[in-house]
Amino acid sequence: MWPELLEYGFMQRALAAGAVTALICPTIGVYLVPRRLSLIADTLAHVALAGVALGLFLGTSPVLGALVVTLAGAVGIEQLRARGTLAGDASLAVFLSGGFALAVVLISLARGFNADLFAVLFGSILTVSPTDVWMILGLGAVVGAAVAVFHRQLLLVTLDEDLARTSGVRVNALNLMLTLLTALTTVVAMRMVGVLLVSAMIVIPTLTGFALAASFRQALVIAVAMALLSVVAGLIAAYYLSLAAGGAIVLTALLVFAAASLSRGLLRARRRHA
Amino acid sequence: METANECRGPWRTACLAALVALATLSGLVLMAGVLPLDGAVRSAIVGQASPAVETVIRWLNYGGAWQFLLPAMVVLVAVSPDGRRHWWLWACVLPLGALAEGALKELVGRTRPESPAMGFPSGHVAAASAFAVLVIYLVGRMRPGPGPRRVVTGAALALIAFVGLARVMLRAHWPSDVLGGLALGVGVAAAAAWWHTARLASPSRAPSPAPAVPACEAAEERGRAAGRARLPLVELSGVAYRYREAPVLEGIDLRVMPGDFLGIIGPNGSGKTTLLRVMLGLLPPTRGTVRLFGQAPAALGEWRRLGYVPQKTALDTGLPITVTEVVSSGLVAAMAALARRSPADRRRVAEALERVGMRGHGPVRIGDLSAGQQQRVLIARALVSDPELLILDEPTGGVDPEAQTSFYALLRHLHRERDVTLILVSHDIGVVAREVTQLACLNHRLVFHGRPADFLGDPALLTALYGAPVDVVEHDH
Repeated sequence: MWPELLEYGFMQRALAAGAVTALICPTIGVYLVPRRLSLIADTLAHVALAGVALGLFLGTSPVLGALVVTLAGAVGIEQLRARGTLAGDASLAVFLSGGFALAVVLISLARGFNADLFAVLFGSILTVSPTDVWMILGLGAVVGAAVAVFHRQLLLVTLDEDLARTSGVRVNALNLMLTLLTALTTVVAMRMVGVLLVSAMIVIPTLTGFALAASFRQALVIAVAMALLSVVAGLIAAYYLSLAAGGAIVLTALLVFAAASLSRGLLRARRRHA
Repeated sequence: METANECRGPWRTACLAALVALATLSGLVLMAGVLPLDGAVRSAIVGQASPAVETVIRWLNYGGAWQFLLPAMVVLVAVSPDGRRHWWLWACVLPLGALAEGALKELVGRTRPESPAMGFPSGHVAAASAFAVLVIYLVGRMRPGPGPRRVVTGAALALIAFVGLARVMLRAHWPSDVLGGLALGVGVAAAAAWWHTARLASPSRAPSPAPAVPACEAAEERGRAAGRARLPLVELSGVAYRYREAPVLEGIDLRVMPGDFLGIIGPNGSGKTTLLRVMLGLLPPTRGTVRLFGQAPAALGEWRRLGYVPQKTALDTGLPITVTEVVSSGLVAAMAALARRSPADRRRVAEALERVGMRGHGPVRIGDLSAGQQQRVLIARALVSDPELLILDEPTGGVDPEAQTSFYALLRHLHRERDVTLILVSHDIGVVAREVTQLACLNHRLVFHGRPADFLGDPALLTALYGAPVDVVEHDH
């Protein structure tokens, strides 16, 4: 009755974790990409790598280490941005290189790479444990609930911060919340696609949504649908073709984005000729 | 309106009792290790459980799991006005409870029933208890009727009871662990609630009343407000602003009374936009004070009374956002979290678009409009909450002459028929002088503030403002 791949517990868990990741990554992405903050996820992923390395070095859970260090990094980035000490992209560059450097040093102290670190770098959705699924569900619920409650304010801040401030929105607090949610999302997505590809899951389905949609709401729905499609198709490809799951998912997302951009270009050209 | 003293009494007593209970129980556990009836209570409860009941209990146990409680906390904080206002306080309760639980466990030894020492206290019970106390407190402060209050209180207490029972049934904890968790959870949440009531009781920190009045009631509210004393809507006293070391504004004293139509004019770089941004609290003045509706902008709660149209906005033309979505965003200040847009809200959006001549453009992407049309959409956005005070920073930039004529007619209508107070910054001295009732001429300092006729009748003032003789040409936009 079920396809063969769904008979395995590890694939069921992979699909559950992947579905949650596909739901929350574009949900955050639609508020980041228009504000030129696409690279924040990449920066936080590198900070998360330092957290993973710290966890491995201390012999504790790498995911817990990533969570703590990434949340701290998110607060640091937002403080630098809010105070205007450094321009947005400069603060991202500082944390990206700093996080990566710290990770490299900790890895060398922990006497080199091991299987856990490779899993974090490149993703290991096929070894997702039931505990991982519960944790991803919990983090996903936090991100989903926060966005559901504050989506109007987030949209207004995305549109224009001054308009948001004169509507009584606490912009700095909301920016901090968005960065913290991005940190949570990064830790969730990291388990699936790996540190090096995590920003792709946030940015690429969002760009697909923006290319095809006529409204913001529609963009969110399309972005989530495309992310789900990428996860399912990527996992199926990974299962049958013995590919790395993270890479297969991101490549699928890129193919979908390319198709969406092409169809949008063709539609525009047809409208111009009509 | 609830007074500070009304909300203090029972809560402070309950909080104090909870803290005393926590301290006593902690002391007992540290001294005795196990409470006397632990074994008897556990065997009495566990001995009667069937496997089916145990399955149910396992599910109930999730009531104290953070995967359930964290989203529930977010929802609780979002629906409660006190929760939103002091969200950071409530956000600290569960993490602080977890920290205290960890510290206590380290102190007494994290062991299970087989050992004489206890695993005091239960984290699930502590978290569920803290959450339940916050539900009772925050929902109670929303003043529901007696029926809903009883239901909420009962549900919150049931959560504690079920989670506590589940912990005992799962044989992971002794009953005294459940009591410890209860005392810890209630203690931490009660301490937060106590601090909150004490903060509310302090007159200097009492929050400004900011009821979530829907936009459709704004006009009615304004009628009531008219009965109040005529206080200035905007008041600047000795305001100065410096950008790095360069003075942009110096010694600005300005009052805008209800019913005024103030025009602000001045040469390029004279500080007009900076003045508006200081007025709105977007820039902090280097010196002097700013009052918006009688309050410092940072303390203002009733932003729905204000509409603002910026000089130019950083609207991303690639962003797939529709005209309706932009205009609806003007209702954010008047809507509660999680509230859905009502038919009345949708009517308001349609009316605002009609007023600026953009009817039928609702589903269009903002990026597909011309600069002038985008500006009209922003004006509609400012009007949608039916504001008392409308502040416009060069709103006709990029707008074609025909649209400018209808725009000024709209401003006249808002000012005369709907009693909206207006502040308009413009370069066009000829048009502004004809439309406004008050004129402020700015060149880093306030060169003139008074009736337009007095300004136009004095060529020396015009020369002082622009630094050279100027002829004013009146025209129809």
